[in-house]
Amino acid sequence: MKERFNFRGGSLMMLVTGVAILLISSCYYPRTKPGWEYMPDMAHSIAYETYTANPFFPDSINAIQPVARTIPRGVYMPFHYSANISGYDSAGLYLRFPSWLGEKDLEEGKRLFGINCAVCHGYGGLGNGSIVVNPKIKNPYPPPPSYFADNLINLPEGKAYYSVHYGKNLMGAYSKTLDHDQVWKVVYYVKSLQKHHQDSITAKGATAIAIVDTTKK
Amino acid sequence: MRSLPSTCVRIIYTNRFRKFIASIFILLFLVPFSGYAEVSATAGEKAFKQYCTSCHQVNNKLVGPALKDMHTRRTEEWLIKWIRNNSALRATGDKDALAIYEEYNKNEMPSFLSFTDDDIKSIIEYVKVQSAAPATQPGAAPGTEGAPADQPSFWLYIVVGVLVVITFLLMRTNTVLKRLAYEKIGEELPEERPLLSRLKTKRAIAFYVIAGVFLLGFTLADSAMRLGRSKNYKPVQPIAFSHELHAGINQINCLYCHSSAEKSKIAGIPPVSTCMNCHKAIQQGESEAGTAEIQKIYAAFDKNEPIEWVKIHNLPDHVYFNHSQHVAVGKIACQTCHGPVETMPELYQFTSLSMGWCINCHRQTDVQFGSNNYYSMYTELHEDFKSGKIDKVTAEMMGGTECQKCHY
Repeated sequence: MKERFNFRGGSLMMLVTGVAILLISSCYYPRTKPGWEYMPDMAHSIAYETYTANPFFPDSINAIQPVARTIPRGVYMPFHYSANISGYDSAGLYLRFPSWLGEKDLEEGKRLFGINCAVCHGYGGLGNGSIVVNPKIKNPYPPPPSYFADNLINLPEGKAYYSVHYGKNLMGAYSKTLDHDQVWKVVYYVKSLQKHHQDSITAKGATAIAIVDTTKK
Repeated sequence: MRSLPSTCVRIIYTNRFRKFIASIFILLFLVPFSGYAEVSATAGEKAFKQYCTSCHQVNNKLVGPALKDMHTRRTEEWLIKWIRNNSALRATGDKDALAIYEEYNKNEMPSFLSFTDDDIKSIIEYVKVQSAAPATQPGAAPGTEGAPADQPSFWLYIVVGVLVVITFLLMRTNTVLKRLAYEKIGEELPEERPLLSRLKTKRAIAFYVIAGVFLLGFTLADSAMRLGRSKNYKPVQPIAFSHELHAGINQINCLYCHSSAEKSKIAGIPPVSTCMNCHKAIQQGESEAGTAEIQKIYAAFDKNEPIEWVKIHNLPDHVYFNHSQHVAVGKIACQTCHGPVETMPELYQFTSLSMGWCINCHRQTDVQFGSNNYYSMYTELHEDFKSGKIDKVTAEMMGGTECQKCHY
């Protein structure tokens, strides 16, 4: 009878256990440290990696620009039009689509457009991208012009290339993320969007005239 | 209705009717006056968004000056001249025009020769309406404030504290009740041994030993399993960048910022100039804290200093991994390895990145064999695939689990 009433020792044990459980569970992950590792001497690169600091360069940045007046191998091509209004105008006059570009590149152009341009310009090019027309954000991006308005519908491809390469007005430069060929594919896709738009307008006009004609008869 | 007296119905009817007639008159009276300004401003809005917003905002200075209250600063006549052909206006030696040209580093505004006076007036009208509207202030946005959801919150500590107090109260009650129970049966309360001696009983010592072994074993096994793994690693980044806001809500493609993921070994951290593609115009965040974070981009941009992001997904140096191989060739979605990044306010490592995890995927994932020219050299596999000998091709069949593929 005496023993049955003696709960005190038991509750103390429970308390100790409870505190221990709390202590263990308080070591929660997600964590801000990567944790321990085994044999770190083989896990870490001796050579400086792309984004690590490099003490041999004055600004300690390892990812440096190519030496001046050199170009990297591959698809990069120098762009000879200067970044001002006269460069813009002469690009419009003299820069033309390269000969290799064709219908086969439309799909890739569309994909690249979807990644890089549609955020602002919208998938249809109307200037209604997801950061411009977005009810969930309070400070949407100022709307870019529609590709189909009279000031852009007949934009020469050279000017379009210039705008993607250097950026234009609020638009940033994409020469760092898209290479020469990719910019051309995007421009080709945009011009095809505009052509399709104009064709549909002329087609609509034609059908409207046809309807008017039939009523006259 | 039948129980209502007919006079009552009539009164209601006539009152409503009168109000209706009156409102029609008011509307008829108002429409001609309000309509003109309204139509002009909406036409202006369309033109403003097409031609102006890529350089100008009403309240902020962007590529060109802020346009707020421009109708009070300049005459309408001057504005029409400037907007239609600013270089012609500058050629006449207009002082204001030349001052603006100099202020913006001789960055020329394009001419809009095709605009009629009415077009320009409608734009001015729109800016006038917008200038009168209060500027949008950044305020609290849902989901951007408060403690991150996965950290133990303040409230949890309070709940634990309350529970501890309740436990002690219950223990006190228990002793009192026990004493009362003993008094009732007329027996004496058994003598309480002092706390220290109770902690030294055989049972207590046995408990310590068992608990200790359990704790040590748990810690040892747990740390051994996590050795060299950093799943859920979530370092504090120099800027509180939210992938949820950018990739989720704003639907910016992963490759917009990490463009080298399909071109090179590394996915790449976007340079500050990529941030500036949008943040040249987006200067205010969804909350005040957000605005403060955006300021850090400008600080880095102005000083031409890199932002020192903390790398989360670390592979040991003796493992070769190539992003372009997986993204461009294998067409693996980013989320397969990085998890639902578009829902993460703060980025963390979603997968273990262990070798077993790599091998599993190489064994199980169906390679897009038929449609991808990259694999055309595997003629034997292609033949087997066509003849139906194998129903799918995994990376393992192409040597994707051989040691030298990743360790060399």
